[in-house]
Amino acid sequence: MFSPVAAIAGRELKSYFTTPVAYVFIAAFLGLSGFFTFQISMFYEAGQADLSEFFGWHPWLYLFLVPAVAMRLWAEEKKNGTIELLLTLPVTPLEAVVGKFLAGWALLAAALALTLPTVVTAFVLGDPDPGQVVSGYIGSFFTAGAMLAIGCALSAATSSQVIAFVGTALTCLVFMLSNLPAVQDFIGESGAGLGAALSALSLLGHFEGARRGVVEPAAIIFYLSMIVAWLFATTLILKNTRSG
Amino acid sequence: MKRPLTTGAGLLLALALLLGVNLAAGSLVGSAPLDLTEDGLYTLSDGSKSVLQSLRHDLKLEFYHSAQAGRKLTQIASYAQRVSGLLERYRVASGGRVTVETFDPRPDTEREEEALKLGLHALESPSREPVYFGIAITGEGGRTEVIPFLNPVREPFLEYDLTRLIATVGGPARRTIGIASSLDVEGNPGMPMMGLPPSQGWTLADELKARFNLRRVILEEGVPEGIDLLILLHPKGLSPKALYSVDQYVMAGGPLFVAVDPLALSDTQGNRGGDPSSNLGTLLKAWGATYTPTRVAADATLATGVYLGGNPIRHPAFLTLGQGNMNSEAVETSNLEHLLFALPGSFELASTPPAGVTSTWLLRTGDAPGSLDSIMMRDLADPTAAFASLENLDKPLNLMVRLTGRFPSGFGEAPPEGVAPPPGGHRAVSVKETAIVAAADVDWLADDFSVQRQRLLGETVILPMNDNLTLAVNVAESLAGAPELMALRARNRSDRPFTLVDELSAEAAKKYRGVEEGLLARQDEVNRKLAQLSPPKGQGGPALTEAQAEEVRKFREELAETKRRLREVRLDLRRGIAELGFRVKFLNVLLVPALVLAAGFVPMLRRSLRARKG
Repeated sequence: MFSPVAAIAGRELKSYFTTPVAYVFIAAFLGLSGFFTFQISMFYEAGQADLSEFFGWHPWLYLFLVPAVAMRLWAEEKKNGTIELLLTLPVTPLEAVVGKFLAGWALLAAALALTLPTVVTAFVLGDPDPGQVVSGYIGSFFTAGAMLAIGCALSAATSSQVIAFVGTALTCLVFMLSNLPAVQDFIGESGAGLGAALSALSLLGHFEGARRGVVEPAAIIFYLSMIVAWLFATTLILKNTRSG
Repeated sequence: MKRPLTTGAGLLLALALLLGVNLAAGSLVGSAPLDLTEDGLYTLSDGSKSVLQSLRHDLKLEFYHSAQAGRKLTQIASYAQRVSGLLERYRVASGGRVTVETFDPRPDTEREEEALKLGLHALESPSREPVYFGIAITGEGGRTEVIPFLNPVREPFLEYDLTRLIATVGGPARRTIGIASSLDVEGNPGMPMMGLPPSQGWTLADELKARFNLRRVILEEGVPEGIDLLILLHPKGLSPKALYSVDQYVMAGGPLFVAVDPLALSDTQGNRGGDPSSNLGTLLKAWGATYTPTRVAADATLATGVYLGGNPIRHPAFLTLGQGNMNSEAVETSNLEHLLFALPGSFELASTPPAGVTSTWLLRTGDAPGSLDSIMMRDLADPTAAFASLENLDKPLNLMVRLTGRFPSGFGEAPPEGVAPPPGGHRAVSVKETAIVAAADVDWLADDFSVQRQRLLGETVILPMNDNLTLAVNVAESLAGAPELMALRARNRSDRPFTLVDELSAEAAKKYRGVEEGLLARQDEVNRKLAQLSPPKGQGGPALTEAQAEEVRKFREELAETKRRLREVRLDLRRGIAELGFRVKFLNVLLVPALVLAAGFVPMLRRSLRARKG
């Protein structure tokens, strides 16, 4: 089963780098990460070798980077009509979905890896907690994965890249803000069950532990279940499209 | 044929499963997260585990958290989650001997009355509701200890606080502190028949009695059994036998809190005609801390206003200590704000402490440490002569230190001449790990320097004027409590300073301080000359000659020039650090993204160049 997945992933990854678009987005991601960490969070002035602020910005940066990566995955194929071609290959829809997802995730991982200079800077300036750095990257990587899975589903649901982008960003935003007190308030007392439900699915909430150096079992379950659920949804949506 | 219904159903099913799985996972909160932090911040320490495993009976932990009312106070809400997690770890590590219950005490309910009865404090939420956030630990016989409000500032010590209270409730009865002092700490009823009035004793003694059993110890008669902590305040003229009993007490693994002083203002007898200083012989040196009873520590940056001989002056040997002078990683000092030390001495920690001993500073002076002769300082009415003897130093002086480990006997292999060893024989090394806290001042514990008395509604109320007594109680509790607690250090993860920046600023400071001092001295000189030359205001008098006026003008110019150069020097000090900051920001915000962009556009440019050529 792996070979078709790998083939699709490879093809997708290569297509990212034929145009400068991917580079532009990654450069913007890195530039903003640096700007937010050093200018907004005043990392240098704060005088502490603590990268939790740096990691804290990642979900917000993913809010624009992940939809950009995701929108190309399916919406473009649908627009160009190449989706039919893809699905007639000896590849199950699930394999195609997983393949493209893995390509997108690999790209996000590359962007994440390119943030290492910031970490190196912190190690040169002082003595940060290495365990916190490892868990921060793990949490960030999986947060990106969960958001990307959402993006896959939305990208598969439309042939317009713009709609895919906006839809992904908005949906991710809902999952990010769901545990904030303001939102919980808004839902109010009557929706108590809904409040608890949204809290359990909060992207920011589950990232808290990883930011501080702890890998919580509940967080791992969250990330994996999100990825599985949304990729499953993507497959369903694709099958629906195909039968049409 | 599209099958939207099945697709829709499938999507709903996926969502439901997603929700279900994660709600179920929510109940796994706190159970064995993978703690990657360097200091193991989120794992229960060995000290806590051993306290939990040696509980004498079952305990109940009640966690009161007004989750509903407090949900807008995000700091508390997120701290509450971590508290829950920690309590769960306690429950698991205790093997079921500790049960945890969580309550949300709504206003005007029985549960709230319970909370108030226990002594919990409530904060007021933005919507004016009381927010309770505390823990009550109850053991056998209804013994209860309470954390009235979980202040997020004290999060690094939550485990220490909890384990300490658990040990108090679930452990043996109140611990006993033995006090030996040349000063009248406990007070006595006096002998009215002989004209000796009763004395009140120190508030310190009252604070300790509230938490411990207090016993007076006469060192000459030896340290009795059953003492969990020995406190020595202002030990004077101890005979070899008395010193030996202290030494062997430490060798038996007993913790010690000793306060010595080169000039104790509280020692009225000593001040009148004897020697107001105290010392612990060579014991402290053998254990790793050297103290000179003839030197008083001073620091101009910590000088306190005092009245001496009727005149208020800022006296540099009356030290007001702030958080910068306290070890923020030490459990005894991390939650304090202000302390007052009066004419203290100082300890020098051995650069190579005795094998098996670790030493830490708990309190120290600031940026302008100096040392004064203690005998000259005794003339308090006019300290100016004493100030002339001020010796400037370049390393801060330690005012309070903690030594932990297994100590070597201060008497070597055998007791001193004519003194019998204890039953069990002379010990040359501590039989187990123990701790010693030594303070170089004793006046900070006296009422005059720690509390003030106010009359309120016909009653005299004692109010603390600083954190001196809090520190004393912290030390007593950390030393006399369960021995495992001594190993529980504060998990103060937030102190990871930029060592590179610190190094740079220290180097720059060294380079420029000499220059700055020279310029300041010159500035003083010029100012003085100007004052000499210029006539006093409002007085007619001989006008200045041409030459004198010219001199005044030159001096004023020189003053302006000196001021300008001083400003430059100060700017230079900061320049190195600012440059580093600029380089760091350039690299991270501009350089790396630019490189990535280049990586993207270069192949494209190359291709178009090739295309044009071809």
